[in-house]
This record gives sequence, structure tokens and C-alpha cells, in this order.
Amino acid sequence: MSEKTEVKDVDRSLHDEKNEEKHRYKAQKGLTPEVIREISREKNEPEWMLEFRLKALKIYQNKEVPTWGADISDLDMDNIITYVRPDADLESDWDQVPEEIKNTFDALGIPEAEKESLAGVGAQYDSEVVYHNLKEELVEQGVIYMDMENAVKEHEEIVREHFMKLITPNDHKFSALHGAVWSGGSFVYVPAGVDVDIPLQSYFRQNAPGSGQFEHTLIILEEGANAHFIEGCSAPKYSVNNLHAGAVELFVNKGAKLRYSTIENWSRNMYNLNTKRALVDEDGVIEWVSGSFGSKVSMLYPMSILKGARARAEFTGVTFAAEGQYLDTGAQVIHAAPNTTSTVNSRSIAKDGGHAYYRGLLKATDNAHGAKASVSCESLMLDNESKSDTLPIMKLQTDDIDIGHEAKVGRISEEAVFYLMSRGISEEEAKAMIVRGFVEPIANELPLEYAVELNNLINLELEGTIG
Amino acid sequence: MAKKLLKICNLKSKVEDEEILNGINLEVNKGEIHVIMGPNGAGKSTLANVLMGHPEHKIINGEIEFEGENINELAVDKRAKKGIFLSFQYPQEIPGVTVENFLRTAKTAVSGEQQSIFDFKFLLEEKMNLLDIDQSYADRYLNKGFSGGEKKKNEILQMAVLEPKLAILDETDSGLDVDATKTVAEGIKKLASEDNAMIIITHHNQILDYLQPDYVHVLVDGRIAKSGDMELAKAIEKEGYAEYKAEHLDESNSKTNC
Amino acid sequence: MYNKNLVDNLTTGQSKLLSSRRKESYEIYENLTKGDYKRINLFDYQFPEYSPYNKEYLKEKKWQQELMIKKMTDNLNNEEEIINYLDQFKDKKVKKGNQGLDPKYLAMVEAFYNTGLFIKAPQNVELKVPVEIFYELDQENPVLIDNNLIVAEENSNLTIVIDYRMQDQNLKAFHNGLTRVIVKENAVLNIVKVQRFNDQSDNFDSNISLVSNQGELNWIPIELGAKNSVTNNENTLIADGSRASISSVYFADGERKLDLGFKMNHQGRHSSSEIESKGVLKDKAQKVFRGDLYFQKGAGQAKGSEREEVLLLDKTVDSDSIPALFSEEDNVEGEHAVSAGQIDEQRLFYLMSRGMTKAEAKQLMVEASFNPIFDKIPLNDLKGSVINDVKTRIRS
Repeated sequence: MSEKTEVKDVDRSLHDEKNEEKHRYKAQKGLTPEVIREISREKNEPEWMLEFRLKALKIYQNKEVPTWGADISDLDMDNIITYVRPDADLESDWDQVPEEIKNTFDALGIPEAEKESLAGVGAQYDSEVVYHNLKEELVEQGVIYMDMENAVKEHEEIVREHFMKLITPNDHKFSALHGAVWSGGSFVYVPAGVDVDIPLQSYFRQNAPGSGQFEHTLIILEEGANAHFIEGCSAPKYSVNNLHAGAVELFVNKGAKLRYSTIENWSRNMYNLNTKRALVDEDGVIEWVSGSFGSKVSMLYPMSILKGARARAEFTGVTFAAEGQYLDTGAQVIHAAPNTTSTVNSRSIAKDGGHAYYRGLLKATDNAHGAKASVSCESLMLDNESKSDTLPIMKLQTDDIDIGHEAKVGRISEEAVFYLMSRGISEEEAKAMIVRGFVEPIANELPLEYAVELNNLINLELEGTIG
Repeated sequence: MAKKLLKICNLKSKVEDEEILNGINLEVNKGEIHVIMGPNGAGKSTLANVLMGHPEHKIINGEIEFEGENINELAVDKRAKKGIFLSFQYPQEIPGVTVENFLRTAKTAVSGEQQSIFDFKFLLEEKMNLLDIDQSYADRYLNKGFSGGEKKKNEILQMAVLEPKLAILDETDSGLDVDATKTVAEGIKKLASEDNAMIIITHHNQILDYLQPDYVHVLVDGRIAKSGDMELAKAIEKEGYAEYKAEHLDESNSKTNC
Repeated sequence: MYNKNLVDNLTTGQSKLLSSRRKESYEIYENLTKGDYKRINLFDYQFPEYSPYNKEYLKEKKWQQELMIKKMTDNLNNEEEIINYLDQFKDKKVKKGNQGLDPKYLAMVEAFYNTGLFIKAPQNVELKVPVEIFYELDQENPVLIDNNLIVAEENSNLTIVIDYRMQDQNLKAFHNGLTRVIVKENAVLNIVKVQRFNDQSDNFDSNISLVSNQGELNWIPIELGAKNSVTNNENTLIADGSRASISSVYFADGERKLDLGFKMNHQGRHSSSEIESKGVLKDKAQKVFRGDLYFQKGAGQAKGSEREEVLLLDKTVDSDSIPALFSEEDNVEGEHAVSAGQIDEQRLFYLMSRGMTKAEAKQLMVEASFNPIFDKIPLNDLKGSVINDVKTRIRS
């Protein structure tokens, strides 16, 4: 028992299949107004969007790269091909999706997921959505689920009213970049009172060396609406550092409830600098379920702004940092109205020199009386090569609140391992069991097939420990 | 000879630098129920942990033979697979792992056979009924938030599912009220058979009234000071352990042949 | 002002090595740009004009002969020993997490200190009665810059009480201090620091310690005064089985601002630490709590815990908490917990049902929260007056 169990690295061959590069168009390297104009012209966008992109580009060029958190000095933005379009037009029928792309998706299990009665698949291949399908009943209810490019044209008014209003190009360098070059992503609109009882899912990935991915997700739930959106990412591995700077804007109106789930498993050379925000009105609910497994560097801090009375936010997240990974993640909650509530539950695991960092913010503004918040962070260290840090910042500007925070770090209890082993379970499996149990609260929040995927990811990560 | 299960010879152990077991001799055959009594700190729980193979306890002398094989060096999970079971005095809480999932994994490991989800569900249901445990416990996290009594019942449930050859019950009756002790004891009784044996470590006689042990041993200062039957337990209940303290030790009591 | 001339004046009559240390520190001071304390909106702070501190601050007692107590400003004959102790702090700076007070403030103390003590408990000396130090600021002595060094040698046991206070409610006084502490093998050192300046004064205080094998250091910092109070308390548990604890109490009212930093760097195996902070914010008070538990590589089987409780008495308060847990070792146990909010309504109701007014009930609850820490103050007079001060502040 005093010997440590060697936990082998994940076999990533499943997710590391890559297609021959077969792209009809590649943007020039480097970012200039001309590049932006080209992107916009290709997309046949309205003039205001082009103006918006150009304005964002200017902000991007004047903003400094953030110096806190992860070291991203390896990123050379000028050499990142920001716009790559796959060799397929938008398809609504699976049969017409090109074979190579299908093969990669097959490996990721997307069609299976659909067969199992998932509502729609909007899978982004490189920068644009190539496959799109939405069940007819949802269309009848007035639910809109389409790629962002088409939404800009077909639902111009509502997109213009919301697009990058919650995350603005002024927020930071990468939101400005996103504003300038965004491409692809999903648009979801759920009318008042409509309950979408099957999850909407979008599986996207990037597949060209040096390509950035800047998909934009915009979800609007009208009063009393209810939906669950699942975002999953996986990308094959390349030698050039890849950048992901997407944006997710979620508008949850009065009494609406949105669950946003992500299992992120980018290849281990990816810089994942995603920005996610939700604005929640009276009695509305946002639930984040977040699994961070992949990427070289992640800086990801989903923010919930509770602007209406009694609005609620829940965040459940797991981060698994293995060799060579620096995953800096955490939840941000702003209580900006009376009687708002939030719960943050984060679990992180570090092994083989991986570095897991929880960086959170909890803020209660001066009119957040009656607010209740609890934050719980637990970290598991599997060896002493790894690092685990927890930094939850709390900023309280009123008195009538009830705030609790707890954090813990430690390793697998030897007594617990002995107990399990005394029932005949091997040491390796006992440890794996404890790790799986540790992330169980997150697995519990996921739809079954994603819970299975999460479990598979953990099993892969702990390969060698499963008997 | 086929009936012989466990043979302990002149067993001495230590934790860090402290010697605790100081020459234990004991033989257990199939179909027998042994009771080990003794004052606090005598080494009762240590004996249980040494038999199970707790890494903190080092054997410095002697031998543990199980079914004729020396198991001194065997790892804890291998001992479990051989059919040794310990009902812990303080069972660990394992959040996130359900009782059912845990037991199915353990059963697979101990029996060496993959357990079908449905068959195992039936098995578990049956054992839970036997022990009067609510079915909802199957989906609860292992020992998490269980009361003392629930933890002890859960230990016995594990024993029922894993069907060990030798069960060591470490203070399984402590902290239980009269009714709970009765339920647990009846559960144990149902599991006792001609094919298995039990070592019951206890402070109290109440559980013994239900179980009718074949042998009672008094453990004092790391040694078995006296062996006898139920009458010995009754004598101790009346008079305590004073007369078994080291200075009164009668060496002739260690009569096992090694 | 704080220039070369002043250093020259201060080194006149001071022993040689300590003088040259002042001069070196002055070079550092000169080359640093002053930083801001952003979270309490303290920008571009100007140090007040230098002024000597001429009052007696040490209560000398006969039994203190067992200790070595010297004024750092005097012409000392044992200064080499002091320099050797101070050199132990070189290269001990831990880069991660909260970095404490702005380096210019520390250099300022080392260059321009006008008071300060070197206190050493020699090997095997155990004193039951605490050493008392009283810094009392007034019109003639409005600036206190103290540079202290406290050493508990092997197997010694010592308690030191330092009371920073003032009577004058209108004087605008200034304190910038540095206390370095070394706790050797098996020694036990307790340090109680009480700060009760008026609401016009500013307080800056740095405390840095090194704790050796099986050594134990217990801090009891009590922060009740000052307009701006920025303090830091950083302990490095350098060897096996070293222990440190901080039991902090703060009370901030009016428009006062507090920025309190506590840090435990675990380097030794089996080292253990505990940070406990209880605070009350009233009116428009603003406070930042920074608490770092850092398990450095090699600190196997170390344990650390951190607990912050803050009671918020008015909706105009501003309370920031930044608890951090850094770990480079798997075999450690670290945890922190923060709770913030109002006094429990049920408890208030219960107390009021026994005839107390709401204010009385609140006062009682605050006292209940503070008392376990106040009980650690070894001097009854001091304890009584601290409790009285808290009462007065709650009522006002």
C-alpha cells in the first residue's frame, strides 16, 4: 500500500483521428481589416456585422494580453489561421454529409447520440456548422435552433439585439478577437412558455493545423421557457498550438430555466480561452455543468449575472489536469438583485504534473439583500508532481446575505483504500473507484450518455487502474 | 483436517515502534463461532487488522495460516479473495460510490465472476430483505451520512453478499441499541453455517446470547490469557478482567501446538 | 524627509553593522516605486514627515533579566548576533500568493526605524509572565517606525504582548512596523498584538517568521483601530513538525479600511498551521481578508486549516475575502472555510425574548464571537480594556 499506483496516460487515439486537410478556403495568415472584410464577404453578412467586426478588431489590436493566470506567451496570433471552412455545405440530412467528416463524427459517437432521441445536432466542423437537424415538433413550437451565420441573416433583429451585448469586445483581448473573427456556433431561441424536454446538443471540433476556433453561441429563453443545451468539444492533436476563443451568451428571461452542459476535451496542444456568460432575470435559473479534461491551457470562468429578484445560479464542475496541462477554471457569480441564490460545486483532480487551478468570484452588490450563496471546492492530488490551487474571491457589498465557502485539498485516503481492498477490490481499482466517486456529483448532473462519456474519459485517464 | 480454516501461531505485531500483539495462538475450524473479549487497548482491533493485512501493522514474529497456507505477506485484497472478511469498527465513508455499485465490484473481485447487473440486483435485494435493510440503501453512497447502526448493518450486508469463509466482526455490536443489536445478531446468525467460521470481537454479552459461541477467548496485553466457553463470558461480565492481567497469566493456557 | 540626510542622522551613535544595514536599506528604498493598496482604494499614499519616537515603550521587570532585550536604535555590542539572525530571512521570500505589504514600506522601516527591540529568549529559558511593550502615540510622538526582532532559542517558552495605542482622538498618527520572528527547535512563542489607533491614523505592519523543528508560534493579532490599516503576517514552517497559528480579531466601523493578510508557507514535513479570523464590519467599513495556505513541495503530511467568519452589521459595509489554498504535495490536508452574513435572526430573537434590546443582543453576539480569542490575551487589564473598546465601538 505504501507503493503508489501508476496511473497511465489516456489513450487518445480515438479522438486523435484527423482527416486529410481538404478545405476549400483558407484565410491569409495574420489579422488585418482586409481579412475581416473577406470573412464577412464570404459569409454574406449584413453591413452592421461587418462594422462590428472591424470595431472589435481595433479594440483587439489595442488590448494587452492578460498577464495573470496561465502563461500564454507561446501563442502567436499572427500565425493562427483564423478561418477555415470545411469542404461541405450546410446539410440537414446525415446521408449527405461527406464521408470523411462522418467518419470522424462516428468516432465521436455523434449519430448514435442523435439516434437516442436527442433533439438536434449542430456539429461544427472547423469553423462552420456542417450538420444540422432539429426535430419537427420543436420547429412547430417555434423553437429556433440553427447555426449563427444563418441566424444573423434570418433572425437579424433578435440577433442584433443580443449579439455580444453580454460579452463585449471591450471585456478582454480574446473577447475582442472573438468579436472580430467569430465564425460558426449555435443560435437557440425558445419562445415564452415552451419547454424543450430533450437536450439540444452541439458537438464541435477543429481540424486544421494552426486554426483558431471562434464559435459564437447565443441562447435566448423567453419568459417561462425551459431548455437544456449540451456543448461538447474534442479536437485531434496537431503540433502547432491551437487557440479556442469562443463566446457563449445566455439570456434567461423571467421564470425561464436553462441548463448548459459542457464536456470539453480539446487535444493537449489547445489554448482554450473561452468566455461564457449568462444573464438571469427574475425567478430565472441557470445551471452550468462543466467538465474540463482537455487542452494544454484553459482559462474558463463561466459567469452568471443574477439581475432579477430570486434568480438562481448553479455551477457544477470537474477539472482533470494531467501531464502538461494547466487548467485554470472557476465559476463567477454576481448577485445583483434581492433574494438571489447560487451554489457552486467544483471538483478538481491533478496528476502526472498537471496543474489544476480553481479561480472563482462571488460578488454581492449593494441591492442583493437576502442573497444566499455557497461555494464548495475540493481537490484531489494523485501524486506530488502535480499542483492544485484554489482561489475563490468573495466581494460582499451588503449585510443581509448568507455566504458560505469551503475548500479542501488532499489525496486519496489510505484508510478508504484499505477498506475497499478488504472487500477484495485491487488497490488500483479501489483508487479508481474513489476518483469516480469524487466526480460523481458532476456525472449525476449529466444526461446518461454524457455521464457514460465522462466516466469513459475518467477511465481512460486512469487507465491501468481499472481491473 | 479439512475443517481447519485458520491457525495463528505465536503472532507478534507492532505499529510504528509499539508492540501490540505479544504471541497470539488461535485455531479456528469451519462451523465454529469464536468470541474474543478483553479490556480496552488489549489488542482486539489490532488482531482483526493484522488478520486482514492492514499495512500499518507489521508482523514481527509468528505465522498466520489460512486453509493451510501462510498468508503473512498477502495483500489485503488477496486475503479478501481467499475468503477473509472484516466487519470494521469504524467503516469508511466513500462519497460518490453507491452501495450497489461497490458491492457488485467487490463481488466480481471476490468471486472472480462478472456479476450481471440484473442478477446482482436480485441477490442484493434478497440479502437486504434477509437483514431487514431498506432497499433505498442500495443507491446511497457507501456509508456516507449513515448512522452508526446503519453502518454496522451495512457491514453485515457486505458479509452476506460476499459470503466469506472467515468473518471477523470487530465491535459490530458497539453503539447499537437493543433492537439494532438483535437485528444485527439475527442477521449474523442467519449467515453462520457449517462451511464458514466467525471471530466476534465484543465488549458486551448481549450479542452472545443470540449467537451462542463455541469458544470464548480473553485477550489481555496482546495475548490470549484464557480460553473457554460461554461460561467464561459470563464470569467476565460479573468479575471483569482483573484476574487475567499479565501478572496472573497462566502460561499453560497457550496450549496450541505450533 | 526620508532621504540620505535622515539616514545619516539616524546612524549617528548607532552601532556599525546595524548602521550599514540602514544604509543598504535606504538604497533599496530609494530605488523602489511605491505601490498602491487597490482593494481598499489607498492610492499614492504619502508618508508623513519623519519624527522621532522618544517615549519609553518597554515595561522592564526584574525577571526579564533571563532574557536578552536590547533597543535596536542603541549602540549595541551584540549586533553581529542580530545581523546573523536577520540574515536567516534572506532568500526565504516565497513567491506564490499574497506578497504582503509593498516592498517600499518594508524598506522604509529598515532604513528609518525610530524604535524597535531585539528580544531573545536563550535556550531552555521559560517565562510564565509575558513581556509587555506599549507604544503610545501622542502630539510629541506621532510617528512610530518600529523594527523588531524576536528570537526564541531552543526549548524556550515566551509570551510577548505589544500594544499599539493612543489617547488623543484627533491626532493624525502614523505607524509602519516590521517584526521578524525566529522560533527554534522545540521553542514556544506567543505574540499578542493589539492595535487601537484613532480613526485618523494609519497603520502598516509586517510580521514575518521562520519556525524550526517542533517549534510553535502563536499569533494573536487584534485590530480595532486606524483609518487605514494594512497588515501582513507571513509564517514559513521551515522544518519538520513546526507549527504556527493565527487567531485574529478585527472590528471596523465608520469609514475605516482594513487590508489583512495571513499566510502560512509549509515547507517542513508534518508541519501544521491554523488561521482563524473573526471579524465585524459596521457602518461603511471596508475590509479585505487574504489568507494563504501554501503547501510547498516536500511538505509531506502537513496540515493546514483556515477559517474566516465575518459578521456584517450594516448594508453599507464592503467585505472582500480572498482565501487561497496552494498545493504542490499530494500527502497533505488543507482546508479553508469562509462564512459571511448577519447575526443569526433566531439567536437575536432568543436573546431579545429574554428582555434585551436588539443592540444589546447584537453586542452580546459579537462578544460571543470574539471571546474565545480574547481569552488568549494573557494580561487581564489589557483584556478588559480591549473588551471595553469593542463595546464602545459597537454602541457608537
